[in-house]
Amino acid sequence: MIPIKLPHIESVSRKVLGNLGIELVDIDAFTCCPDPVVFGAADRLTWLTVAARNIALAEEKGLNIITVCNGCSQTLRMTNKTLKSDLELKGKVNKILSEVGYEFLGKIEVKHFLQVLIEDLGVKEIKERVNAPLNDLKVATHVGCHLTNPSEIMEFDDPEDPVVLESLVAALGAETVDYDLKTQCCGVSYAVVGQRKSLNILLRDKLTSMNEAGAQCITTGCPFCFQQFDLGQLLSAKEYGLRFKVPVLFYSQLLGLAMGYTIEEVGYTYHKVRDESFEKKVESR
Amino acid sequence: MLLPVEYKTVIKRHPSLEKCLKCSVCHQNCIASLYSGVYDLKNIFLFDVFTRGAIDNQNLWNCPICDYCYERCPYDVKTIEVLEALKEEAFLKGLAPTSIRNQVEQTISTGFGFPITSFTQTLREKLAIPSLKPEKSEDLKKIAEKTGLNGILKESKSKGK
Repeated sequence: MIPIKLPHIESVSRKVLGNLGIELVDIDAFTCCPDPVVFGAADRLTWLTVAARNIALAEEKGLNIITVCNGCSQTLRMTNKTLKSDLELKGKVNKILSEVGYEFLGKIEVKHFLQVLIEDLGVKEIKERVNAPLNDLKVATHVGCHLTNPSEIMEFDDPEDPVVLESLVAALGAETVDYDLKTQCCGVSYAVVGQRKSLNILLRDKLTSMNEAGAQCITTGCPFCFQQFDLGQLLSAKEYGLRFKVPVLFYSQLLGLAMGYTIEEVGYTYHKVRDESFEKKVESR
Repeated sequence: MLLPVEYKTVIKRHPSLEKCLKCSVCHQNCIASLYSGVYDLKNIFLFDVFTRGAIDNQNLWNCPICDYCYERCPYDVKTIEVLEALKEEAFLKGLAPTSIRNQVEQTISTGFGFPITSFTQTLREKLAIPSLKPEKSEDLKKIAEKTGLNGILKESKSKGK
């Protein structure tokens, strides 16, 4: 999703992660993870094998994998854990992989970038890199289902009461708002099967909940959730005449703003939903 | 879309279902049931799987695999595993929506989940990030041949589904 539909998020993520001292190595042969919602449910064995190939590529270079997508995290972490513990399945997958010259060994770790930030860097380190704190900015966090669930695989946060993303937002000087539908899924599957009307209702409810809690913007670490709150908000607002706008920023965009990048430099101008009062707030720091 | 499901077969494949006391916590937390209007976890799982033997709910793929039915089930029934197995069975029998099949085919044939457009390439150049090759690798096609996925996709296409 990000490289093709949201390259501005790739661009800002490369910048901010680099600024934090995280060296990103491109592996050209990486393919789509593949996604856990459509592909993962359609053909489990092919899904596991393609994911295992991606992991094997990183293993060949002796590198861990960092992702900027909840779906990629879930696919690769599930594959990693499943094949490390189910030796019969690992054998089956490796037999297929050997036909394309790879072998899954189970030697590396996969983490979402938010997980790397909280576990490997820590809030203190992030605070030290903040040059332009987002003071008084009220942010609604949406961590997204596939980063917290299933909890024994993702090991990121409590799915019922997620707080990690909140602490990462607080590290930037911003304030998070608590809202009723915080753990509700963004409904991405509706977009895939063409259930636009249902999706518009879901997003109307979720966005209204955020707005009523006082959110001036949304943040997430998932590009699919991002699309729901950007393009999806535009479509829902049109159908239901929503009288508010709550622009969404990927966490790396918020981090970029806090590091001192401008609104243009973090790619905000590519968004479908933009709000003047949010822009004024950020630009007046 | 009717997917005949026999109770005995389902229980054999998913023994955790025997613990289900039909408390409906999964249904109450299911956003696909709440919003879709065509998907109802109570019917697809609690009633159809246990009582009728045929899944007559449309649109299994309204389920986003958010896993909240799994996380919140008080009896560790692992509901989501049954739903994923039903989706896989439906896909293998050529009963998945075209959009689902197209996305799988797109991934296998190019290595990307979405088609690359000239707009993408232009924007990537403007942002000074590496350009994307239109086709990543032949490996995925070979993997899909070995697993049988290619055969399933060809069959679905020839049936016009």
